[in-house]
Amino acid sequence: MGLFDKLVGWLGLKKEVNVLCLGLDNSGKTTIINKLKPSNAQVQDIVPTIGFSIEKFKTSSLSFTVFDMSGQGRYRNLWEHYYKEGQAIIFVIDSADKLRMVVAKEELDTLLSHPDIKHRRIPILFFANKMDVRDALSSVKVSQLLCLENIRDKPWHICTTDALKGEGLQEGVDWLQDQIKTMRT
Amino acid sequence: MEIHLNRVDYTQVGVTSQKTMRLLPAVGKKTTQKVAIADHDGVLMCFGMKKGEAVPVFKTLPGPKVSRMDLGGALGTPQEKIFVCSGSQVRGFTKKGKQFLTFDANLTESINAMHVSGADLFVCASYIYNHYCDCKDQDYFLSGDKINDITCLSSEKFSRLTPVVACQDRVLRVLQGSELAYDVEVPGPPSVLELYNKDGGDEVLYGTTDGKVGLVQIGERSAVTKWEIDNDKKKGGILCVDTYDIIGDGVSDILVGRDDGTVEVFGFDSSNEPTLRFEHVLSESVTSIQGGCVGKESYDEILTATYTGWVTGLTTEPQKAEAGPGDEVRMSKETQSKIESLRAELEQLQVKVLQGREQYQQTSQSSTAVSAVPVFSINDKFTLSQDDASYSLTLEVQTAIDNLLLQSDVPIDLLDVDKNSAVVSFSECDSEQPNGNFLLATYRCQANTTRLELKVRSIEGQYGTLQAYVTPRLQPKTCQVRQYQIKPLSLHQRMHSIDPDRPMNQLSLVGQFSFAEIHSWVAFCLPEVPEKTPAGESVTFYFHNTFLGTQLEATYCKGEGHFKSDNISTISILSDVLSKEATKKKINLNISYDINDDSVSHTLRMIHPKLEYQLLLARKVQLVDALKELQVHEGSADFLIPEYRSILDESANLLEEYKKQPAHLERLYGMITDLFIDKFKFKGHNVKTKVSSLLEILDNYDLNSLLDFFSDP
Repeated sequence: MGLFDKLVGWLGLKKEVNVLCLGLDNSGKTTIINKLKPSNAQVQDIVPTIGFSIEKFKTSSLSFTVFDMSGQGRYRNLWEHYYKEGQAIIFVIDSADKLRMVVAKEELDTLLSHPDIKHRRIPILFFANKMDVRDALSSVKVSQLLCLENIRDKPWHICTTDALKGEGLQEGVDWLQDQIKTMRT
Repeated sequence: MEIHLNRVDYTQVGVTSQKTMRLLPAVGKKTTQKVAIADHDGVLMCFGMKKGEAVPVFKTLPGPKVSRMDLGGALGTPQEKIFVCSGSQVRGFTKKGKQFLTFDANLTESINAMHVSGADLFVCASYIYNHYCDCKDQDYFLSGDKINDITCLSSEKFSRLTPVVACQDRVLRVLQGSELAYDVEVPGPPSVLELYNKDGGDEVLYGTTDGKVGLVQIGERSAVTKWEIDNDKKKGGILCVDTYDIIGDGVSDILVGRDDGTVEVFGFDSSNEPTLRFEHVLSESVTSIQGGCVGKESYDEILTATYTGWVTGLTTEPQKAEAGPGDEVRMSKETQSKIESLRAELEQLQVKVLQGREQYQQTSQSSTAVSAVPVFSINDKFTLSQDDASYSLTLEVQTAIDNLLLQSDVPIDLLDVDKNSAVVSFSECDSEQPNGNFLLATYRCQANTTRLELKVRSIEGQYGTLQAYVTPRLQPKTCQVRQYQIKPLSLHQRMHSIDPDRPMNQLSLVGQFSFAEIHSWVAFCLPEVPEKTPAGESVTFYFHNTFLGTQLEATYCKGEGHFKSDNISTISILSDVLSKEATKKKINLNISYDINDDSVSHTLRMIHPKLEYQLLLARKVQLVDALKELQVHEGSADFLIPEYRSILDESANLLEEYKKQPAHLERLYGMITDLFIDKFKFKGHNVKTKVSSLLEILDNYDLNSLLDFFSDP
């Protein structure tokens, strides 16, 4: 840890990290980001995102700036403009939507083969969301369908979440935080 | 619609009886519920789940074995007072574990069924029903057969509480005060009753020991059966049912627990017919089942308790699994900590046991000390299954069984059971000697088998005892013996009525015997007869033979008995056994017969389709091998005549069927020979010499020539 980092620590300032939150439309990205914010800053109604929005939230040692991208088909080409800034990726999957799992896989594959992403070792956190739905797939099943085991050059992690109740989010963000810290040092 | 439920084990208590676990109603909205469970050690425990661990709310001291549990409370308030019965005593606890009621019912027998409704308490001992209100005696009823369960309807339709009692003789008795209002016939001995709608209503769910479930609507004067679920797959008897909307479609589903460990969920489709939606096997008999929410809030689950005391949840909550790069799925932290704590506990126990064993070895040298035998409980069932005319013996022990020895002094066949993983070895036995054995078999069980199911096939007329020596995997190794009677008319089953138009043979007994005496003789001869002498002057029982479909009517009173059957062999067996019993007691019997000659041809005609089917099967199976060889040689079976082609098509089925019933043909031959001998015995002829020519006729079977031979040998 450098002198500057220590100084930051003493002053109580937190390191800023830029995170990209991606995923198909209606997978629950905005809801997840909303749930990660402090309870007084949370909004009640969540509507489909248009374009993108920038949200911020803090964890114990980091301050995250999240680009909450719209997942709708016509806005997906916006994603690549922000790849350069992203130091980590949160990829949200609707685990109850078996039909569009292949679409999610396709988007993930184009994301991973993008020149801005391909050679950078950035951590990817997968949220298998909507686990409260009765016929939702397990995280193991989702990782099989998305062929996550083929990602060799980047650290990744998948956890099941229920964004409405906030279950499972903390474990995921804790992992992301650890990864970013180890990358820095 | 299908559901997936994940199994979570919560905790283990001692051996539990039927219906001794309940979920307390949730406090406030959408929180987890507490579980109350009581076991054979008399410990009533109430616990809640916190982060995957069972946190006890209270635990009582050990006492006598708890046989039932029910929840109650003042009407209109949450039903959260816990009532347990042990012996003839009922105790009540608040949800905090404070005992507020001790009530001694002063019965000679122990209570085996109980229902609580407000201030009303309904208890049943083996034959007695009692109703108390505020601990004051109200009504009393003596049932004709053993009572298995009780429930009570409280609907606006009825002016008063209407208790319904499930009795062993295949009826539900609906009571009014101390009087029997009417009874409802059900297709098997009912073992459990539950209200379909917990908030009141007039519908009662029942489950039978032969695995059927049904819904009965109880009216003022009569009852209507709404639906019935048959037991085609021959699953175990039903020990508990509950209604709960686990599927989440807004309609209450039926949760069923069976004695072979099967847990089932029946949902209702658009036409309101129950259909199976989920099935899970727990390998031990399920004694209690409840729907609710225990492990994690807002995830519904089915909570079950098994015989050995495992409290297990089948939850809709997905199994938490996090994954990352790497080939294997990582264990969750909960699993890891569980393994660690188990390992530590085991190590501690090992040291303790080792010390204890050394101490025991030393004290066992002492000449004055006596080694006590550890007591373990065996849950056994010996029942006649209707569809294959054989007995199924199930034994369940709280720990794993090491081996089981079967000894019998009657000729019986042991049949294969697919579920059994035990290794059987038959020992040679000498049946010639007096007190000789006809069967000596040992079952050595695989690891962790707590439940064993065997099939036993008996022959009518040969009676005696079957003994089972059970040795569990316990230190020191001990053994318990169980005895089962194989009755003279072992293949007969009780039923509600018989067909009166059949030609009947009658056997009449007149002599100086009491009602109790002749009842004990009948109970000796026939299965499913209550041990207790029925009330009243005379009694009539109806039976049917599960193998042949012939029937028997037994009517008797003090000094007189009449037995009617359309099968001469049944009458002959009865007269032999009854006269033998009477001679033992030195009572003079006047036996008279009234033989109907038509009955023999009637019985032969009843056997005919079975015999023909078996012969045809045997003939077809003979050809299968040859036909298969031809098929292989020629490459196709197109040149064969259609008859042979059809044999080839269903060869697998035929072979399986043939393997299943190897002794069927022999059994039928034996019955026909018995019938032949018995028919002429009543006429005073001895025709044993002509049996060989009868067998010749049977080998070239034709119904008409057989009938001719019977009428004029």
